[in-house]
Amino acid sequence: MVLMETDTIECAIDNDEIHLNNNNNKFSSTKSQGGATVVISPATSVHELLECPVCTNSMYPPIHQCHNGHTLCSTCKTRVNNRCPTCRQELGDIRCLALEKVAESLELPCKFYNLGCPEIFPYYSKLKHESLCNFRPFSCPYAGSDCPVVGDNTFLVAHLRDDHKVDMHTGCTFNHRYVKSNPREVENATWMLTVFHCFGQYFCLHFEAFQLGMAPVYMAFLRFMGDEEDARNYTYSLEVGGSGRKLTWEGTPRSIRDSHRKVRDSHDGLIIQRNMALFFSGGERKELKLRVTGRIWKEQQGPDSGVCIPNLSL
Amino acid sequence: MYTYKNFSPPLSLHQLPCHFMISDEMEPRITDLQIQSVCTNQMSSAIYHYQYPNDHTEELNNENTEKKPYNCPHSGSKCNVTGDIPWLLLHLRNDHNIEMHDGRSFSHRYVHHNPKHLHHATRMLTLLDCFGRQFCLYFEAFHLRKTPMYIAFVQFMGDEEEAMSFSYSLEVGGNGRKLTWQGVPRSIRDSHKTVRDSQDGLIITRKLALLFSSDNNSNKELKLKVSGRVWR
Repeated sequence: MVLMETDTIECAIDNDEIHLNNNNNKFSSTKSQGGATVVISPATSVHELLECPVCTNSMYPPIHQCHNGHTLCSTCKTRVNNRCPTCRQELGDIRCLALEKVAESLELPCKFYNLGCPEIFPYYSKLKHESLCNFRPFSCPYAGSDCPVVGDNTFLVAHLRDDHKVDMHTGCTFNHRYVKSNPREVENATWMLTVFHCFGQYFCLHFEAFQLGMAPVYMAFLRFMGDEEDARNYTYSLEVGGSGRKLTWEGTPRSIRDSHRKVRDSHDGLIIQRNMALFFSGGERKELKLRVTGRIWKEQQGPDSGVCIPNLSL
Repeated sequence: MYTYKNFSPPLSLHQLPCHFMISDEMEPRITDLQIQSVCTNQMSSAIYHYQYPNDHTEELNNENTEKKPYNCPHSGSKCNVTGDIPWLLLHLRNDHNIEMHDGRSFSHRYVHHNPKHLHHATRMLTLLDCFGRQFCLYFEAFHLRKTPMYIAFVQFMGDEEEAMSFSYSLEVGGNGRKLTWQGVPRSIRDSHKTVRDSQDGLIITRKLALLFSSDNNSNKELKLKVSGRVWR
C-alpha cells in the first residue's frame, strides 16, 4: 500500500513482487564512464577571466568594469549599490567591450566533458548546447514539486526510493488498483509514481487526477529513464475496463527529458473521464477503485504502426 | 444544421469510402461561436441500466416495446420522424443521404483542415449492416466543458435486450500510438445525445487526435483513421 504526498490516492499492488535491486552498477550508462583530460590552455585562463568575481557564473554581454578595470556581470551590478566589490571604488557605467569581443573567439569544451561529451563550442553558444547536451545528467522525474536533484539513472532511482519513497517494482507487467474514497474531492492535481525495472532499464509509471479544462480526468502514462532515442525501443500498453467495456492504450514511453507536466499536457497516454472511471470502478460509483493493467515490451513503433486496419468489406 | 452530402473534395485529399470534411463555406464565423455543455446527470441512469440486465423497468416490457416506433437516429437536424427499423432505413437513405456499409468491420478516415475552427458540434453518421441487423456508427466533434473532443460510438437499431448480445470495438491511432475501445452498442432507444454525454464510446481530446495525425503532417490538419468491428 503506498500513500503519496497528499494522502488522497492509495495504490494496492496485487500481484507484483517488490524487490529492490541492489546490483545497480551494471546499469550505469557508458556515458558516465567517459573521461576527458583537463588541459591547461590559454583558453582556460581567458575563460577564468570571464567568470564573475561575485557570483562565479560566466559573464555575458553587457560585461561591466570599474575605473580600476575590475569586471562584473550585469546581474551583480544591480546589487552592489554602485560600489565595485573588488576595490570598493565608485562604479560608473563602463562597459568592458574588449572582453566581450575576446570571448567571441574563445572555444571551450562542453561542461559535461567529464560525462563523455566530446564537443567544443564558441563561448556564446556553449550555454545553449549544454541545455540540450545528451550527456547532461537527468533531472529527478518525481512529479511533485520540481525536485532539483540531478544525476545518472542509478543515482536517481536510489533517490526516488529513499527520498521520495517511491514504490519500486521488478518486471514488465503491472496490475494496479487505484483507490480513492471520495473522488469528488479532488480539486488539485494529485498523482502517483511507480518505478519499474525491466530489460535492464527503469520506467516511471505515472497515474494522475487533474482537471482537463473544467472536466475531471484520470491519466496514466509511462516515461523512460533515459533519452528519447532509447525510449523508442520500447512500447507499453495500459488497460482499464469493466461492465462489458474496455479501454486500451498503446504507445511509446516518453523520455524523462520531457517533464512530467509536458507529457501530461500533451495527453500522450491513457485518459479516462472521471465519470467513466467511476463506472469502471463498479459498485455504487461513489468510490474510485480503478484497476489498471499493463505491460512493457521491447518493440519499435514505426510511424504508421499505430492502427491495424481490418479488411474493408464491400 | 449541416447535411453531409457527398460533394467532391479537393483533389489533394485522399478519397476513402467515408470521409468527413468541413468546407470553407460551412465554417462558422467567430460570432457564431457555440459551446455545447454537457449534462452528466443523464449518464448515470443510462449506464447504470446496463449493470443490472434483469432489472428492467416497465418501459422495457416486451409487449409495448415491439409496437413502439423508434425515433430517427439521425442526430444532425432535429428530425421528428418515427417508425420501425425498415422504414427508418429508407428514410435515412432517402432523406438524410446516409450511406450503408455491408459487413462487420470498417475503416474510415476523418479529415479536417482546420480543426481549431470547429466551434459547433459536428457529427457524421454511417450505417452498418451485419448479422442481419443494422447499426449506427457516430463520429462527432464536440466540446466537453470547453475542451474540444472527438467521440465515436456504435448504436444498435433495435431494442436494448438485443443490443446487449453484441459487442463492438473502435480503434484510432497513428504516430506510434493506438487507442482501442471495446463496448456494448447502446440501443437507439437512447438518444444519440444521451450516449454522447455519457461518454460511452471512444473519446479523445483534440490534442491527442492531432498527435495521432502528425505522421507526415506538418500542418495541423486532422487525419483520424478509425477502424472497428462488430461481433456477437
